Amino acid sequence: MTERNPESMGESNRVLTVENLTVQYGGVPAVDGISFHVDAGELVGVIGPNGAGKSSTLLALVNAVRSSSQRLELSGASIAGKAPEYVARHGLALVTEGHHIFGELSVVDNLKLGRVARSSAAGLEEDMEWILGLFPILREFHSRSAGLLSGGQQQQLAIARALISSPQLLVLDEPSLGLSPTAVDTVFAAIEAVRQRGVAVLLVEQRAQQAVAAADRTHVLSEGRVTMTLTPSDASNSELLTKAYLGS
Amino acid sequence: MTHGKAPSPTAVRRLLAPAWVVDLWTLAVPLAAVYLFTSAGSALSGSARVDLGYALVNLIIVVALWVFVGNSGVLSFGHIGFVAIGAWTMSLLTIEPLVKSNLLPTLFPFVQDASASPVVALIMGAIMGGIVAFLSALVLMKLNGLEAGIATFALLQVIVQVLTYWDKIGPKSGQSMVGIPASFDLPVVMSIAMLVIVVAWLYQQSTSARLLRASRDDIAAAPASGINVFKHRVIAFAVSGALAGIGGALWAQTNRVVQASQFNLDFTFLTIAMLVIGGMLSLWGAVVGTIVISTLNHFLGLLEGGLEIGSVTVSIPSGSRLIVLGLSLILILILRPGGITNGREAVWPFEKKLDFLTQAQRTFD
Amino acid sequence: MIPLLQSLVDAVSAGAIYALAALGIGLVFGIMRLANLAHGEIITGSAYTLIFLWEFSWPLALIASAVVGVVIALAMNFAVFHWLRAQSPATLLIASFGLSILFQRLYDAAFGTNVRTAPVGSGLSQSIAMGGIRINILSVITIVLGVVLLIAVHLFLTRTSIGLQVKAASSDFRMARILGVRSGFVIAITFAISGLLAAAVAFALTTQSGAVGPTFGVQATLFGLVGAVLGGLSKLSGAVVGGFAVGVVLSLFTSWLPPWANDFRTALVYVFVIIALVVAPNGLLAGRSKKDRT
Repeated sequence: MTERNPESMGESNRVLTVENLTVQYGGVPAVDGISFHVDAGELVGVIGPNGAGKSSTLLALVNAVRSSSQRLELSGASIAGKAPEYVARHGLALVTEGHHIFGELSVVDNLKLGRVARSSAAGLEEDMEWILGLFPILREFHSRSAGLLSGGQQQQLAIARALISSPQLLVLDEPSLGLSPTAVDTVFAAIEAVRQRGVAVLLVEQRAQQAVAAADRTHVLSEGRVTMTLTPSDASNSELLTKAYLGS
Repeated sequence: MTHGKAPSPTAVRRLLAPAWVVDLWTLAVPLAAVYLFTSAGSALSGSARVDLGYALVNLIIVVALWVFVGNSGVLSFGHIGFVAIGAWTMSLLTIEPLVKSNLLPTLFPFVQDASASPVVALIMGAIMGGIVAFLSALVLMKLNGLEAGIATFALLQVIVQVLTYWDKIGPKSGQSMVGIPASFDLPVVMSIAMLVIVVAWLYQQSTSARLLRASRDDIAAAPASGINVFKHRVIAFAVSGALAGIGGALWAQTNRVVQASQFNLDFTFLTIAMLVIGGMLSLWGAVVGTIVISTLNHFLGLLEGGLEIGSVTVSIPSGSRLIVLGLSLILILILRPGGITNGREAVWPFEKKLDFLTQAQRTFD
Repeated sequence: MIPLLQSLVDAVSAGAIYALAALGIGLVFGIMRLANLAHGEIITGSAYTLIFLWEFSWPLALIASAVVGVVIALAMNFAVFHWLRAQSPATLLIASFGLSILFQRLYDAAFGTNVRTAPVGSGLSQSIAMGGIRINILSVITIVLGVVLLIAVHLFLTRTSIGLQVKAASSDFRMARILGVRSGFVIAITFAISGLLAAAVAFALTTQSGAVGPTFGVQATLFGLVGAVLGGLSKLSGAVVGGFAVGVVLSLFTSWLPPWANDFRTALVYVFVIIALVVAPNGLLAGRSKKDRT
């Protein structure tokens, strides 16, 4: 069964394909038929006002909310309707909003949970060194209870845990939310390093300017639809960004 | 997956019958069902009439349970305690004085001397059940969820233990009370059951019950919206306990032998299963569940005793009733968690009353 | 009067039994929000196995009772609770109540209402003299069994990858799945462990009584559950300590209450339960961790 549809030949390095994704809560659409894709090594941004459907889109990717779509593929294989753990084990690591770490477990135990979705143990040591290099604070606090870390440290832990699964696609939901300026810089530097390493990144952000500047392209979401797609050169166009946020 | 839009309010308001007719229908249908059920049962053989007596008593108990559970959304494992109190009251007040002094020599003198007509004893059963429920509610109704379930179960245990061992208000430890006269015949029991349904329905229409149901659907928002959940739960629990007391009083005069150990987990399970299978969020569900399970149990009972079909005697092991009941409960929870009625009241059938549907759906989404 | 030390040892041994029951119930509650009333029927199943096989071969009886406990627990999960995973804790509780009654009747139909007896662990029901005081070997063995199993479960949860996954799923089920934790697998593992713990409780109780009937496991489960709720189901250690405390209190009541009050000891325990629940609804030892997470 290796028949491939001709279109997908041009998508050989496509990591994520989303076509016509819809999420409804009690009949009210939160995400209203959006389409986008992420290729290998790309950083794709998603911005938009609160309630635009950003988090719902991400939760739909791992099937943590019910959705419908024409196509939902991870590296060419359908993930539509698959359990969250299936999607995780096939290379999509989602860092949810509000840095959900396990507060009663130690930092090390939290990191160990990142290995659950990893397909092979090969290269684990090396990855671990790289990740702890990105977030040195985690090495320092490795035996501390994760609940005692600051918000910024917890976010670093959540991203590190996601990276240990060696994902093809790292999905981040508002990683800078509620962080101090220095912590935001650490997080954005880490995201850049992840992309440098060839891992595709899908980044949902409130900080529009920083996201647009960092991403290869940024989709503006409003009322569940993609209303605009911006390139890094738009980052300095504050008029355009404001317009994007007001949901023109 | 919901397709299409909810009906607009104007479409819902377009009713042919006035609202009070539709409301009254939710009372009329259960009453008619109880009447038909009793008539059909009475027409059958002697054993059916015996089972029917218990079925009507169970109906009262399940409706009483619904008054609290259905309106508050909080589980109670304790109602059989109020049933026990009603049964105790009925027994102590109606056993022949001479029999009583021989059988229960250790009673408090005032309990020993107390005696009343069956009707007064029934009312006393309701009052005692109501008082104990009210007092325990003052303590218990601050709890939610699993804690509330455990606490009501603890209450049942306390009541049963006290009734088992305290020989100042009953027989010596663990023994039974006998000689309770059968004072009410089937038509009277049926009338009392219908009266209980009317009371439960009137309670359901009250402002207190409406507020309680609002809190049931969104417990987190209730305090913010100014609803005093505690107060309305106490009211529901007291009304519910009083009705369960009536059920207990009638149970005593139906069974005619009363022992504390009868008010056990099996009895608790039977009534909860009837309520859940019918649909625990509606009065109609309580009635349907009781009628369906009682009917089923009657025929299973016949089979347990051995039923002759032609020349073959079909029989199933005793205890099959609870096996079937347990299976039915589990299947209903898996396949139709809202119960047979899906938590809806009897629907006015002569027009499409769409807001009933949307209301029920809201409860279950 | 029973010597103080002996009654203390007995109390600790009763506490160990209820702590194991509370642990089995608490583990399943943590991961499923299910307060499994049918846990007692797992205990009963294991206990029947011990009774029937003991005189044939006691090592076989021990192994078989553990296997039976695990099999019943897994069967309950796959046949019933698996289909109710999306339902509320109240619905799960009612379902487990139904399952409990169902199993009791099935045991009744299969093995009769009367108890079945066998001298399970009869060699253990002797006393040893220690400094002039006689102590029941059985109580000591029960305590050791309890401590060993508590430590084993603790090590499993903290030192193994699967144990970590169980802990993670207990604290945030959705997040654990997003990390790749297989929901069906960790739930099955948890049920299996609760089955093993039930078998241990069955062994301890059977050696004491040597007789098993259809409702054999009910009391241990009720007191275990009550203890777990008192201690706080949201934290395993709270559940275990709660179960232990209930066992100790019950046992001390039995030994030391005057005869007239002894009749009311269960009532007293439940009055205490009500007071404790009202004073600390989330459990006496639960801290301020949230309860309904999903």
